[in-house]
Amino acid sequence: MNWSLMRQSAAIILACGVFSLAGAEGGKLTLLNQMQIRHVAIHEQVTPAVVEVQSFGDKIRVDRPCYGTGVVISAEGLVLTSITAVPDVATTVKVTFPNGQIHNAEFVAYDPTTEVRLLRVLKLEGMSRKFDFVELADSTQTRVGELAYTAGNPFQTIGRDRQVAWSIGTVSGIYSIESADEWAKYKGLVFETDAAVNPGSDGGPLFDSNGRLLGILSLAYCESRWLGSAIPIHFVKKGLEKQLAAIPMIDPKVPFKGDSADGARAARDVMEGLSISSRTAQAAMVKLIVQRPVSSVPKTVRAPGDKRPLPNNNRPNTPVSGVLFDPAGYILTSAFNVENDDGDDSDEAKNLVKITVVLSNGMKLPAKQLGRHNGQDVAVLKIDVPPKTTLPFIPLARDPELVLGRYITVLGASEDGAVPTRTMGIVSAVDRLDGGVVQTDALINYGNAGGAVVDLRGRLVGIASQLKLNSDWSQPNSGVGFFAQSDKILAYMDDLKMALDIRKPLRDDRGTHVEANAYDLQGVKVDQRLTGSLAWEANLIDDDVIVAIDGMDTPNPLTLVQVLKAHAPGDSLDITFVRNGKTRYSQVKMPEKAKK
Amino acid sequence: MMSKRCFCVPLIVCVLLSAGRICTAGEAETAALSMALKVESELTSVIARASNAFAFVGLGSGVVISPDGYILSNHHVAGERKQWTVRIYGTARFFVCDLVGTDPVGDLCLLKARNAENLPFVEAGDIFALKVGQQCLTIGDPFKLADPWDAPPSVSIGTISALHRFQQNYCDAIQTDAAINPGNSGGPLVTLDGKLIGITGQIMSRFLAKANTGIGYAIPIDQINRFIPLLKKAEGKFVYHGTIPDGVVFTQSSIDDVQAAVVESVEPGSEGELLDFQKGDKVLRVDDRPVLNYWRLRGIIQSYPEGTKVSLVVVRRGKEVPINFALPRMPLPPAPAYVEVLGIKVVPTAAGDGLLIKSLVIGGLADRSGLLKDDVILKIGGKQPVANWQEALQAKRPGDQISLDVRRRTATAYVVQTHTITIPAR
Repeated sequence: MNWSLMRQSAAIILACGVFSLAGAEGGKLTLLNQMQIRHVAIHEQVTPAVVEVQSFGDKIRVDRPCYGTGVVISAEGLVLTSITAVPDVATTVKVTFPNGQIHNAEFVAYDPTTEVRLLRVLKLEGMSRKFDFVELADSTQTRVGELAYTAGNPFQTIGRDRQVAWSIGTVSGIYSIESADEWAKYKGLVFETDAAVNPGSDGGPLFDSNGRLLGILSLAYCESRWLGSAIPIHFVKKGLEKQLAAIPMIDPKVPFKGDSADGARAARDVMEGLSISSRTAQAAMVKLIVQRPVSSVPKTVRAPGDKRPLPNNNRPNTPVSGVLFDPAGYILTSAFNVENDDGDDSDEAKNLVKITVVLSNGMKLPAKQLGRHNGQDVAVLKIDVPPKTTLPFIPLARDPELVLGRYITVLGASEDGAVPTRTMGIVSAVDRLDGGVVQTDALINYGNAGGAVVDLRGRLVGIASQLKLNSDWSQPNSGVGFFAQSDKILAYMDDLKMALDIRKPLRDDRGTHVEANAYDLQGVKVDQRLTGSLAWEANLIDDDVIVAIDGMDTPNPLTLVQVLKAHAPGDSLDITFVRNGKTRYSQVKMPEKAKK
Repeated sequence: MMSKRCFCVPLIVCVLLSAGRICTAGEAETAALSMALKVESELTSVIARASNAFAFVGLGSGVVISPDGYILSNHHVAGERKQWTVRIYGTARFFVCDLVGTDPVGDLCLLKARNAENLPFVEAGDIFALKVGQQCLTIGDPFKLADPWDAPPSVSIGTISALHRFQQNYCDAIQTDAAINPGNSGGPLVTLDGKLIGITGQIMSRFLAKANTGIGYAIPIDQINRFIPLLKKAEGKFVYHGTIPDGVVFTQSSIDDVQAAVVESVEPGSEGELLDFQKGDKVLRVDDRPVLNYWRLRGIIQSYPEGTKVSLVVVRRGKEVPINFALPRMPLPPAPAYVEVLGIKVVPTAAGDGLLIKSLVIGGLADRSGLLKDDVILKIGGKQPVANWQEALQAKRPGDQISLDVRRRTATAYVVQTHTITIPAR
């Protein structure tokens, strides 16, 4: 093809050298090893063509480098990058290769429809060999859920450390975007990815499982998902038609030359397997358009002279996810998706929230809220099934078999796309948050909270949940995400269908990390006070030592928790603490509702 | 005739195209699912064993590295107390541990469990066989979600994204996209065969998120291995890193296409001059490790303990010249200072251009004036903070005004604002 056979063989030989690293026991090559060999081979094949792009000009400050990533797409040195890496004010551009060579580059063209810049790297004096480059994929065939790699220069990985940063993920969504970022103004279809995209990655490549270019990474992101996105390469080719006419887009079915069949399959088939197993769930996904009364968003009032920034109480104004789990018209979502933001969960308040359900076939129906489990963050809605209609649904798994390390995929209602979004990961821990909640490293955000969690066996094993606004421990896409477990949901489903709410028990010590381990300390030291926690309310800061609480001297962490649990909402607690050698006093009121 | 030939050609083409496909669409899907399940089965058995040596240490994590109870963690997790109560997951018990030694520059810390034997532990992996593209696991306690008495740690799978990264004080770090969040610090980074290749401790994120966005850093096992013997002998005190000899200044810019670290100047009479560094020297290697630029030179040197004898090779006037010496000591960074009148804790920035706010008292003067954690105070009263700036501030009385020039990082830029704060009456 376009790479010389020698180079491809070298890549495989190098990759096989990796044999020793992953401890191939007794010479037997496990599937995990083969998978890794494959990933390493793709990395070594394509990264010589991934570069740092750095811009200079009178209006660009020398002490604040303006950099991004670019990718070489032809032997003559054509480089694709983005306008955020090479802005309008740039007059000179330099390209740094991972081997350390720095070349000048000239401007060739700019396509405003994709915000993609085309450059040409100039050869160094006496350089005779051609540039390493990557092939373009036929991105019209790209599907949600397929394996994808990002490669590039976030935080100057290439420019400073001569390394191309490499991340493995998927094409987690295909939808139209109007970017929420003030730098990227792109409007159009993107490939979203859950692989790492960070400042400096922009302009760089999104590769498919064969190491071919699927798209150019941009800074565009959508308000509900906050994930990286790439401009599809078929748009780029169209926008730069004249200049890229001679460069073909390769069908994804054409394999990577020199492929080891098992390695390639092991690498791809987990993603492929999740795509296949989640088909039923995809049809059962619903989009929820939730309209809250304005009064339900709490207003924080500051005293005059208090210039603290106001907390962001605002949800993204976008549809959210739900799953039809019962053909009689019952839908599961997360309670967060449908609750009032002022915490009022009375029936009157619930009825003020208007919910419209959009089914996978496009039908729109109003929904009524039934019950909620506040601890598990799960809510049930009901739609009236139109006569003579069978709705696609997926039942909750009675035996989800959640074993540590099993693969799962989290589906999300795509705001403006034909197919639901899908992130994937493993089961990271079970029985979290007082039981029944499973932790995963699949990325969960405002777009897919409330969505279906599916395993390789095609079972609905949970509903993505526990996402909050303004919480330290439950942030979107942190890699620490949660889902309510299907068998536990089944246990209380009858109550929820009868519109009964289940409250969660108060756990007010959450959010204050106290040093559970200090032996020679008289009292309990606050090691990390999280926003919204009880310590925060009491105006304690890190390193304060609580020496008495509610009349009890020198508590230890266990007795401290016991005191907190013994008090009802509304009770006042006196706290004596020591800060920098001085004894001080504070009083805190136990919150009315469970704070997170 | 024409039509018959036309008919034959497509048929032949179809046959040729399908010759490579030996199964139907349905069979292909079954094969994919079957392969996926096999991979999953291998992964679950790897992960089942991975957490036994994990240790819950303070607000972060740690890992047991020997059966007699040596435990590694980060300095910023465990380095400031002499004693810790640590739960080792595989034993379902708590152990009292002593601080054996700590490394503030490298962010490592070594504890030893008392009365410990036959503890589950991780073996060190081979850093030189590690390749970008390989997969890895992070094991930790992000956001302290594990209930302290018996819950397991969190496991995440990811990729080795890059090696030899110099970010903040991690000078030779492994970069990974496996989930690392506050609480993971001090925890192990392991290969899929369960061997330790790093201790996770830092992240850099997009959107100013205080959570992972795909970039996390780990201290590599070769650096760890160099410091373990020193930590064991440290008697609870600090160990020190090597640094570039005094007086030698290297070019930091990467615009020049030179694959070496270039000496820009050597101060007369300095230690660097005594060691025979000369202006224009290009450092090619430290021992057998190539130096591609200034940052790599600093990264390699800083990853060694003070006193290590290193052999540099420089190119001078076309010839390779060796420079051998023992690494001088890198001084420790300063500890945070509490400023009572404002209600903030500050520490000098790494760049030395101001005071970084590490924490604020909620409702305190600085907080009510709109200052935030991670703001940098560039000037106090129009001047850069000088030696006794603390006393000057403490001397202020009610009604006095303090003017602070504060730099804040927004999502896209740095913004500098002047805050005028009036001390209220008590």
